[in-house]
Amino acid sequence: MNFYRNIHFKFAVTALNVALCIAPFNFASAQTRARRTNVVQRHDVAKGSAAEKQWVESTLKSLTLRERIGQMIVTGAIGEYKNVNSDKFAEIRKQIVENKLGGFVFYRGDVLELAALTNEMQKLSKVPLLMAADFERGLPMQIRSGTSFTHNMGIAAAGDPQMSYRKGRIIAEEMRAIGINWLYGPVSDVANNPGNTMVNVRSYGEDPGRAAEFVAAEVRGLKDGGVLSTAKHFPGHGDTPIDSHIDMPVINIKRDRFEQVELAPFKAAIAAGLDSIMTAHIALPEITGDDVPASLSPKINTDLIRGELNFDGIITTDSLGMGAILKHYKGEEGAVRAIEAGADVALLPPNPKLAIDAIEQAVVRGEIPREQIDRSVRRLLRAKFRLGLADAKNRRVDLNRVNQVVELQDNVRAANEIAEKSITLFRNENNILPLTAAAAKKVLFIIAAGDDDADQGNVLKAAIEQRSAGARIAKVDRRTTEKEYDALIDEAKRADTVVVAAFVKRAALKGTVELPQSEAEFIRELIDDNRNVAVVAFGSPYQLQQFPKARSYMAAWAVEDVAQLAAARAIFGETSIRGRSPVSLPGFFKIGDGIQIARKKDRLSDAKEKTEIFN
Amino acid sequence: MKKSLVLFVLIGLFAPQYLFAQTPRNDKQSAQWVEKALKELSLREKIGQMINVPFNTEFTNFNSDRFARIRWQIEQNKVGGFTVFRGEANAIAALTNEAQRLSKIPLFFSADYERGLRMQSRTGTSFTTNMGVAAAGDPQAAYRQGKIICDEMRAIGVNWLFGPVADINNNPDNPVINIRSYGADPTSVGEFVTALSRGVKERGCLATLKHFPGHGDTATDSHIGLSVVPIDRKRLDAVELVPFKMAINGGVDSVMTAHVAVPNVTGDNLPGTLSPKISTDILRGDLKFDGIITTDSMEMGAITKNYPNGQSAVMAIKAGADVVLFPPDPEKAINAIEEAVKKGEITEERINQSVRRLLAAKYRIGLVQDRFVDLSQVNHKIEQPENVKEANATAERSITLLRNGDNFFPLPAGKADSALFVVIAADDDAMEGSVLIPEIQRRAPRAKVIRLDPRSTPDEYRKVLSDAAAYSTIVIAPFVKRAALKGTVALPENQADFVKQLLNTGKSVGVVAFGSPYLIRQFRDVKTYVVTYAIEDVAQFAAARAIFGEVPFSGRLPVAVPGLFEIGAGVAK
Repeated sequence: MNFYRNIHFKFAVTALNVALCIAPFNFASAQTRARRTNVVQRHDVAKGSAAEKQWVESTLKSLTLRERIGQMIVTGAIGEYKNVNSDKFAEIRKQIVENKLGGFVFYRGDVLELAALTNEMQKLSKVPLLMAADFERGLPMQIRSGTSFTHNMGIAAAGDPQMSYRKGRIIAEEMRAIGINWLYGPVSDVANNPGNTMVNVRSYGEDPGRAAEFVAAEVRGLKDGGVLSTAKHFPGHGDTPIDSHIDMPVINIKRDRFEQVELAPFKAAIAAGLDSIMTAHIALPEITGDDVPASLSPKINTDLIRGELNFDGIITTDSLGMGAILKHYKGEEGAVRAIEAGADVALLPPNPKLAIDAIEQAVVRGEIPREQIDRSVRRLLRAKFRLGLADAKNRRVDLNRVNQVVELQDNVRAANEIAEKSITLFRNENNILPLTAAAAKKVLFIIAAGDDDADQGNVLKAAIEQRSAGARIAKVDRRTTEKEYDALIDEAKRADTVVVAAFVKRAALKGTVELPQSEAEFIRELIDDNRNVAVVAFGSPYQLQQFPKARSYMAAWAVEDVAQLAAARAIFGETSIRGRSPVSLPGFFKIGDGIQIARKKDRLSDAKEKTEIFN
Repeated sequence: MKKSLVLFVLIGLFAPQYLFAQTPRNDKQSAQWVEKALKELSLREKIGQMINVPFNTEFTNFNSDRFARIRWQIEQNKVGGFTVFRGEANAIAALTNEAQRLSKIPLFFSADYERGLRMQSRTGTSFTTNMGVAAAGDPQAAYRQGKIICDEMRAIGVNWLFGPVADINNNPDNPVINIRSYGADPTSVGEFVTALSRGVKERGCLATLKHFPGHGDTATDSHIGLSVVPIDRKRLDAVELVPFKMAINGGVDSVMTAHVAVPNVTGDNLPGTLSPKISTDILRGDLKFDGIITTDSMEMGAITKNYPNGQSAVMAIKAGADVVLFPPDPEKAINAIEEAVKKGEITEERINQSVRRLLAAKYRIGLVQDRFVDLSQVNHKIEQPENVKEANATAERSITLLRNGDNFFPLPAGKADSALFVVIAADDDAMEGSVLIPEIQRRAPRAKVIRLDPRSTPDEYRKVLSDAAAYSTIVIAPFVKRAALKGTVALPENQADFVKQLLNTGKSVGVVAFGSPYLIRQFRDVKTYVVTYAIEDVAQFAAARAIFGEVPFSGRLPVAVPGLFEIGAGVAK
């Protein structure tokens, strides 16, 4: 990792000097510590170092009230290419130069596009910008390139919290290479409700203590990799079927249960040196005594997070543009209420300028004390300082090095291995899986795409074709006609074995993590007609509920490329099947279940994987 | 790593110098460098200079397996250039820089950016097709387009345009050229081709006339099989060669030969790419072209079906080519050519001639002085607002109203709001209609907009037909993509039948064709017919503006639609 050391070398020296006087936070294992370089010590700069205080106070002093409020607003930016003279960039410029926002959260684009864009943006800003993203399972969660990890639930199935450390560290390094410095992750919700449509595979599982270990490890990895971490969605978005992108969930749990379950991962994250907490638009009436969403609740923000949990990092709301808020609060009321409640950052208010106006008025009217604003801004400036952004030359990334940091072969290999270890076999009558070489030739593969995504299953398809030339692979989706289904049912009756790959993406606003009814019905029919039907679930593991009689059932935990490749290897016996479920499948399986099978043959080398269309 | 940093710092000291004039002094410097470089190259390395291979320019880590293959082409095969595909501007710039860093001799980076970077890359100014530019009527627009394309290319390290298409589209069934051509009139095509080439050259890129000796008069896609054009020399001179001659006289740098056979001219069935009569006798001899001759892709069906790997590369060079494009296995091609030289089938002097041409061109466009781009300047050069404005303006002027029964277009606001819009996508491509639909909805929020595609069921078509009864005004927008290997530019039969059924409802119907202007042959009775010449975003924006009356219809058809329209047809409105 020499290249990384070099990028930050000068800065790290400065940080080191600063760090000398104080005992740093240190939660990393001895092994980790040995690997740590001067790069990471910027985070270990303890509170109150002279240089930090000096920069924070002088910066704060230079800001007007309006500018201070601007620091507390984070708005969205599309990461796709923009000419600096274009109208699209003018919009961003306005947010920086006129509204003086403190940060942006990025969506879409590609790595070099983001790197070039964040550089141009940092150039425009007086105070360095926080650049955030929802790269929970790596950069490809939002953008086109980057190391692609499986979802958290898959990592938990793979079973080793050290993998979360590794993931966190890799994500952080790739983020910093493109100018992104604040991760909205790890998801710290406990997956204790199979009907949950918002969290699902994003969670580290159902066991609070176990989830806490993974969350803490990821926080440490992110810290060592040099970005801000965010535990979300406080106080826990696990136990509700409602997607807060659509409306506000109300969770009726009592305090002791809350302490034992939902709170555990957050506490572990804080103990691991967490930088920020994202509050969700969820009401907990049994705990707060009202139905105010946590994001706007003083009881949650001030009393619980600051008071009881003693957390002095950044509190950011979840997006204020989500249905849960927009349906119940008008205009910029959400932003004002969030700040009043104790949040440091109002995320994605519908109109940043109006949000600043409204918060300013609330301050002028005395509803929000100026000191509270200053405390928040100090927290944000401290975080910027610890990211190294006080030093102007660290604000911009070296565009020549993006291709040397992102998707490093070691990173990709690590991500693939985690995904391979995640594959979990719940049921395997007739030993259908893994396919024997002879059986593989007589298999009917069916990709059931649950989403309107033309590419869903394409990586799996290529991987099957590569391993079994001339394999019969059919695809069904929401537009498959009755006639087409009938033909496939007939074909399946004649096949020795049928392997169904069922894809269900979890997506904001989708409101379901089930396979469409027509496809589920088709799979049930296949199972009724043929003794050897294996279903591999990509995405939600709870799909089994829709075809409970599947003879063989395997979970791959994610719909993405990395899981498809890992599943192909497991299906063809190239990797051992070692995953253990981090969730129960109520009525079927309990936490920890997973049939263990040793690999049958050598794996196809990564280099030979034909995921490229040409070259 | 340190070395590269030092290199970058040094490079920063020199301003781009590719705009210098060709003075005798520069000629002398160029000749000195060329001879010195040539002397330092082994025979194998010289042959490498004559090979160009494809480069997928989507982001990749420099230590990835994918980039290792690029590195191998540079370090082992010592290829002279790459043709970039896909990616986006920032990513392409980073990759071309790294590849240049690895190469002893500066590399050519070529691309099929015929209608701008967006023909291949996700970013860059998006121009309409050449046929659209010709419909807009002003060769100066092609000249400006050439300058813009080259400016954007150089900003990302691409320096050799595989364009302009100089083919005359005189066959309505041509599945591969179609709207990529400036039209059917040889002199007019020549004017546009010459103008674009001049713009490209002025800004320091190589332009390439393609596909010699003319790919216009064939219904075969040479990606699939050999195109045989049964014309004689007199006709070739009078039609197909006209734009090539004009642009060669205008100083164009390069010509791409095609896998097209003209047996009545050459007396054999050899494709132009492998034919000494085409490349040497006609192009070098008769047309006095002394620039770079490159073949079209040797991976195309026309070649791979008939000539084994290696043999085709040797034949191409013997025929007179300076560059063998995409030999299926570059190493084998180099081996075969080397073998041919050693056996005396090709003289080393012949190789030297080609390499001199290539090296001189590298010197001329400034690559010897500075082969790198400044990555922090990409966002200051690609998609400059004035470039985008220029591209949009040309596309707007291209929209051609061929029939306008009952003064159907432009649509008054009220009429549009109560109209039915039916977008028919012939291809499985989300881009078809993706801009037009929101542009319609923005202007006519109450209009009904339906999209049909190749997977729409008979029931869905029937439903639209029955819904149509409730509307007095119907606008149909068929999208047909021209694509390599597709073999057709017609609307699929079921969709064409559906259009006819809509016409038969007796309602007031207007058809706006995206892509091929010849679609009308599938529903000849249509009373209102507009052609936009492209399926891409830029044409969808322009068409929306025209059909809603925000810009006039001023385009003129640059081709004839047999039995229906003459060249120059177009209702001004």
